[in-house]
Amino acid sequence: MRDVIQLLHVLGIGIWRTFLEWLAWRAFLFTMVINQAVTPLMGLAVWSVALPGSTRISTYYVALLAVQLMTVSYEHHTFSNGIYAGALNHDLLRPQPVVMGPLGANIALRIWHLLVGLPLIIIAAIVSGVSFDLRAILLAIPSLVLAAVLRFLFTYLLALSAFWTEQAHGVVGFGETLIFLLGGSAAPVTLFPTSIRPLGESLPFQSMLGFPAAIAGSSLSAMEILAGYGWQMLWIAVFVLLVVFVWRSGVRRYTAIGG
Amino acid sequence: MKLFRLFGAIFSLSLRRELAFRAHLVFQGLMTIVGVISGLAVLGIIYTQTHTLGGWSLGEAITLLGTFQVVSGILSTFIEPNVMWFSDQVKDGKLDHVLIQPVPSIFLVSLGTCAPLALSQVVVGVVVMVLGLRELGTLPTLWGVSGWLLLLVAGIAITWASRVLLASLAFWAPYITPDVLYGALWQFGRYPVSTYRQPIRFVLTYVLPVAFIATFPARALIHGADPLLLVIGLAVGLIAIAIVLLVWNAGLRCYTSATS
Amino acid sequence: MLSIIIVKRLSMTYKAPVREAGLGAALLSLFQRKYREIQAVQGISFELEPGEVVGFIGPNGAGKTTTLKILSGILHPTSGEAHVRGFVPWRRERGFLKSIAMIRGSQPIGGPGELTVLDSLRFQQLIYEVPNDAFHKNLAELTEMLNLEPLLQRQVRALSLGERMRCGLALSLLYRPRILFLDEPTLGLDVTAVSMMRRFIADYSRQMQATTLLTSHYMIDVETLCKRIVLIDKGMLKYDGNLEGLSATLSPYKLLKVTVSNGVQPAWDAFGEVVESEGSKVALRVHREQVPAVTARVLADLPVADLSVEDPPLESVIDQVYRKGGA
Repeated sequence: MRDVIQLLHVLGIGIWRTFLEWLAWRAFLFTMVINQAVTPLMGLAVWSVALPGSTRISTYYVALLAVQLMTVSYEHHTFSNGIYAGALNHDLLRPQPVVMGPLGANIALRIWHLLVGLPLIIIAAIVSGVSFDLRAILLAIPSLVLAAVLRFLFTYLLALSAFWTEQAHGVVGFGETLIFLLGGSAAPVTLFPTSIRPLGESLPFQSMLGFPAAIAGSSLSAMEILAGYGWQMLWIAVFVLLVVFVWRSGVRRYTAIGG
Repeated sequence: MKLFRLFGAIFSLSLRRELAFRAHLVFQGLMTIVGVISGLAVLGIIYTQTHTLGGWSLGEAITLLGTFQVVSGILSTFIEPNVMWFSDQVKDGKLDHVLIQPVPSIFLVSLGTCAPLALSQVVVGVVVMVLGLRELGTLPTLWGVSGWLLLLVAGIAITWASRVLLASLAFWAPYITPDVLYGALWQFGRYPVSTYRQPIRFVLTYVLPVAFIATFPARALIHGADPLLLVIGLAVGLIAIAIVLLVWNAGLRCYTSATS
Repeated sequence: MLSIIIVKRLSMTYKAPVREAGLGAALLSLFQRKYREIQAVQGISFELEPGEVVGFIGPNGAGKTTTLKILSGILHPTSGEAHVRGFVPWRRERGFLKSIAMIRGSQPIGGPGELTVLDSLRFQQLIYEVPNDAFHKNLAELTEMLNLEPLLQRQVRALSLGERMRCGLALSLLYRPRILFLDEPTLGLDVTAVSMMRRFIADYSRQMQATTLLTSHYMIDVETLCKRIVLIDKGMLKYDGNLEGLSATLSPYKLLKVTVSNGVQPAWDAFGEVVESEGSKVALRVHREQVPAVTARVLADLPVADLSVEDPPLESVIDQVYRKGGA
């Protein structure tokens, strides 16, 4: 129990430090938030023209914007670049698990994205004239937390490819494209062609982005919500195992080769 | 003219440099293809729900995407690699080396490096355009193609000018990088500009003329060029270049370089 | 003879942002930017004739590099005039730029590092419009004098500092500039490289009648290469003339070196300030005007085996200037 508290303490410090560090880069944060907001906003614009009069789709995309900002992951920068620069050596010497560093940075960045992006979310909501059902939002919050965890694990897993290739940024970029296509940013899963829909619902991408937005937008039935939660928890378990396994082989390779 | 020969030399040197990294080459090609397939997939899904997007049919939208890809490719090849480093260069005083040389500094700074392999995006873009035209079942006229080409060139000139303009802000405020914003707004060009609602549409047509980049040329290709639009395009392009040259020279006067 | 470089009351002032430490000040700086005015160069004037090799010395931050950058057209001065070969440098006309070269010790080669040396030279030929026969002739000479043969096929970024310096020299001299601006060219080089560099600069400026403006922190560079010295401190011109005069102006002292026969330990303080002492040899710092009197007393009162009167080494004179702003 003591170890857990100690780890949480370290995590807290890490979050606070990254948070302060980024205070100096606030201009850059602004551009980062804009970059993240573009795809949900474009989805909002295009889909409200494709399906005129559907408030449900607008609600979905405003919610998606919020979820996107709260689940952003930059592990190819916070972690992979560390491997390329040889900085991993420092982290390996510390008594805490290496993942604490990127995790802390991740949470701090997400907080920043939410802070800086909040005006944007509010403006988008007002302009598209959407209103939210408070119950739906409450129902969506646990799934948001799970999605945040899952997306971190996914991006971190892809960032671990830096142990084997110079193209970690490309690998993560590919993952982001998958999230875009199948995770609910290109189109909400409810609009997927019927042949692909079951696939879309079961793949992890929905669980890390579109699912919470769909709940908040009141576009899912109770059964679908339950099934979605199930998928989220399943995928978290899968990715935790994958991350541990890939991390161990990666570190073995790194320390054998010398970084 | 000397500038053309210089440009050719820069291109061939950059090509030689890029060919040295083969893994990167393959990866880049893959990423381009994945990106394009993703774009087509999105259009596919959208058009299962509706027959028209801002007045554009599926074939038209695909042609637009292709044009967008062609322009993106040209920008990534010639402009992107330079603008990325500009504000760092101003901050660290690396601009000195460029200023000493008897070539217009704006040329060396904005076009001095290129990434020739990004031209693969252009190829992919042309392929997508052909797909779109097939979907439409039309064959473009000579007038349409030349209109497309002209508006494309005007669009590229305008984009170059606006990006260099944004980058020149580094002379007065070296700690902001406004160009990253450009990348985001750029994406709005992949859909017809009529899709967006009014205040945004105005901004995208007249303020940051993303519309010029893809929508106007594509429209010219499909429906034939509107002569008035061609004239406006040329005029705006030339004005943009003139403004940039003025601002650039003003910026150089304020350049303080890094103290050694 | 008509001066080739004319500088009149040149001044350069710029604003640097300042911010105090602490979170509070950081937040405040979001709304309010505070600036400090830095006067890098204040009203300096001097002239150079064709073929002169002039040393520009002064403490760090004195304004030497800024002056060089103004004369090479990189910076616009806040006020004052400068003419180089009849051109106004910051107009950056092509004819002007093609006749000057700026070599910085800290960054001998700009431009992309992945090019090979030969590629960079060819690129330079294109930029400076060097005709083919001149290019080949100059290249052959430079390759021989700088021993570039083993370096030509290598990538620029893979070279050591000394090798980069040699290539930087070749790149700059390929188009035979008539004006050379050298900013700390021997910085970080090993002993062989330094003497090669000095020999090279001396030869080039003599052969081409090139006007050379050189800054360096190593006095020996300045002593061996330059007949004329310009001293700049805090942006102002403090001295413009030759080396000997510099010692005389800055340091009104001379060094009296005396060796006495064994067994004698005189009280040297009575004669002058002891700067060095080693057994029976001593170096005394004596005011110039008192040298004849003190020398006479020493010779009269002590069993002198050897005596000489010298100027204090330039290093220590300059050192005093840098530290106190005057000896």
